[in-house]
Amino acid sequence: MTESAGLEREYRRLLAAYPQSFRREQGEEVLAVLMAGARDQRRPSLAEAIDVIRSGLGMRLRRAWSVPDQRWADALLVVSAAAPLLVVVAGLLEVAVPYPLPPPNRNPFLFGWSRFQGPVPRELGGLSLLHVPGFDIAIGGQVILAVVVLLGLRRIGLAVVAAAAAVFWLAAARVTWIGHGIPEPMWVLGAAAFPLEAVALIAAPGGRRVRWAPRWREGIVLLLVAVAVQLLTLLSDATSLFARTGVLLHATSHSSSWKSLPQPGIAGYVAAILVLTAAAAGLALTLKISRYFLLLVVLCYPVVAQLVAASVRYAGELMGLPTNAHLAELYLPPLLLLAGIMIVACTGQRLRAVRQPGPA
Amino acid sequence: MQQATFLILTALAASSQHGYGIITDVHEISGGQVQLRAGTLYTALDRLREDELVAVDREEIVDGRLRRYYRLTPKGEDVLADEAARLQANASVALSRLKVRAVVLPKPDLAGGTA
Repeated sequence: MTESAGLEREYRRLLAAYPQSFRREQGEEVLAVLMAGARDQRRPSLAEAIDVIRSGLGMRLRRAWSVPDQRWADALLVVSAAAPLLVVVAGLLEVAVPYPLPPPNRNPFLFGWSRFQGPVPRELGGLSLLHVPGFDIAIGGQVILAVVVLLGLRRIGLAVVAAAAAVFWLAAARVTWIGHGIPEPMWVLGAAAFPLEAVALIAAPGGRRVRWAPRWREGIVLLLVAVAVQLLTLLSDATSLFARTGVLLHATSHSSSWKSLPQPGIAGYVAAILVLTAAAAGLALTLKISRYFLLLVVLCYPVVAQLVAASVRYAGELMGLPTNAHLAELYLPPLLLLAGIMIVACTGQRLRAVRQPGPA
Repeated sequence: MQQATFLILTALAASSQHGYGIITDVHEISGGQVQLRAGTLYTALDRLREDELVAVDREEIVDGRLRRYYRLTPKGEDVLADEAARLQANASVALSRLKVRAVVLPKPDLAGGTA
């Protein structure tokens, strides 16, 4: 192989940093410029390599985020509509189907709760939640938000999110859990849902009616990613020996600060996020659907929510006590996606958001 | 506007050029101070094409390789003219103030004697 052919091969490897569409249109042109400036080089210089890679990755990022794409629009519409529905369903399940707690002596998590004064609750949720200060506001706000979003009133939806979040946080800050407060799972679910909904509403295009219809291929990929998120989340809860050890240590430590939380518990969540990121990168490279990173981040929010909760409050509730709210939180996203796929298959059409002139 | 972008537009203001020609012209315009690399050049050109400041003029095959020439668009001319005027105005202010400073605060004679 001649030196120039070897140099050209090295340059082509560097050019892989650029988006495929750019390489197809201008790859040969850039290569010609690189070869013209090469002089007597046998391989690209470090400065050249850094310049090409940095420029290529920057172009990928810029193209992914700057140009509106119908798939992004569809994905964000899904999130903006599904997020409040998800929280509403989770809240309704929490009220309708209370979760019975095992006796303290059979649950390592409750070991630490014996230090609190008062009786240990025998169940989570139920009709008594309707009398909890702030719970009705939290769920009511989500119901209003869901209606507003489905009507396509995006700016009003953002205002509702802000108001509901403010009331929710005020209520949660004023009451404690035992006996007369918002349950920890709902607290985390709500706290995680509000920023999610706000981001989706800000980024999603406006429209009179929210319509969503993924194509088969994209929908299946999204479904697989959502299922992967849920499976990894489940692996991080206290049903596994890995997490159970962390819960027991935490229950006896009296500490809820970030640094003192047991490493196995936190490491489980961090590992889940890293695995999901690697899976997303693999999907992006193999199926060339890098724009769905945003949806992956959205679907990761249950994991992130539990991680954030671990830093400020007890981590044990979400790890050791999977209530119906958790189940809705975990399984509703893939069920929504599956329903969307079936709708598309049955109707045979792709539905789009209808843009209305003027602000929503 | 970044310096590299300004120099690329300046290079194209004379005539349409291909990528390597822009690199060498920028090097010359800047008096050897700016060495534009291919990655930076084509990122800038991609952005300039999106903003409709430059456009593809023609293509040729030279030594078996594609060579694409770029030209400045009318919109690009206006943007370059505005930026050049802005830089010139800033430079004029700086130079006039330096003249005033030289009159008001003459530099001391370092060779000897008292000030």
